[in-house]
Amino acid sequence: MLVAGSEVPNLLEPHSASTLVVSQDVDVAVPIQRHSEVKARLSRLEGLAPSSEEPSVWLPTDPSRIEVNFIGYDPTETDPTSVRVFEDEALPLMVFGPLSFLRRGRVIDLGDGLLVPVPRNAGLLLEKLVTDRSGVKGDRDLLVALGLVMVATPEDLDELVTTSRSLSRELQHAVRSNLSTLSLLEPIGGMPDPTKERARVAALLERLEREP
Amino acid sequence: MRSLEARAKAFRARVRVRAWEARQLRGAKGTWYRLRRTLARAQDAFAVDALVIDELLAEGYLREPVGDELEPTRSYVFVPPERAEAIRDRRRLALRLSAELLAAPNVVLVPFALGPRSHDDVAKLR
Repeated sequence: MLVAGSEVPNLLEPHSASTLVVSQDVDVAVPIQRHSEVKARLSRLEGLAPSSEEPSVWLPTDPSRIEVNFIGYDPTETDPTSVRVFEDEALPLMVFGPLSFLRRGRVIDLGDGLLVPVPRNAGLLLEKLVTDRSGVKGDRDLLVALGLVMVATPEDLDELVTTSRSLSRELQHAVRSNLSTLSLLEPIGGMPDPTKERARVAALLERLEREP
Repeated sequence: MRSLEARAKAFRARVRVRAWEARQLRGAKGTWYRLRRTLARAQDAFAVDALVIDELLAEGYLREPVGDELEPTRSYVFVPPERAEAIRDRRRLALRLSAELLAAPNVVLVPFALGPRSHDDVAKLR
């Protein structure tokens, strides 16, 4: 399992400082090949209970917790535009094709024995940039992508550029299109400020457009 | 499960629309992308008079083609920062897809200094 949503930029900051993004939930990406193992451990979760409307969403019963969304991914998926439902009474999952870009990255030690596995930056960033979203949610997701760009190492960006060149033309365009949108977004409270990071985004766009 | 199926259906619909739009990128469907891409290259934008644009064109700077894809047409011209500073009557525009920027018919843009390709671009505009 990986923590794969808006919390990741916070976790990847030095000392997991969590200054970049204010999150309302935590996305936990479950490889469908490990679904049964994850399901077997759900009873050990404390302070959370499955939503009656949507069992893949676990709501806090303890006010110190935030909502957890279980989402599915298949590392063997070859079509990043696909989506399907993994049906299960206890833990159904949306299996998003773009999440197939996720590769296991660091395990972040938050102390007190809490170890949080996160994806490699490049894969998660690519997932954010190929996914077609709109509205406020779409803008927030692009600002999460910006947070990932801000904490990316040069090696992470190299990996992003290399991987994106292997995508279809349509998806390569989606990446560039989302970055161009990100470059022109207005700031949203509690999120990375896009107006201060435009040069970084422009540099990444240039690299993605350059011939290999 | 019904809500997950509905989300999957909506996701697939968005993917289909994006594919349809991608097939028409060279046409009008790509105009907004080309405009965003042009503006994303700019670190600064200024609204100017039409006469300023005429002067810049006479000096050899070029209008960005995307301006001709809009109706009414717009003039977007990249110049180096020192040339932009030499324009006396200029009004700074926030670089976002705002009504203010989209309504401005004549816009001078200053590119980010990013590397060889951008320097080449600027050189070509001289």
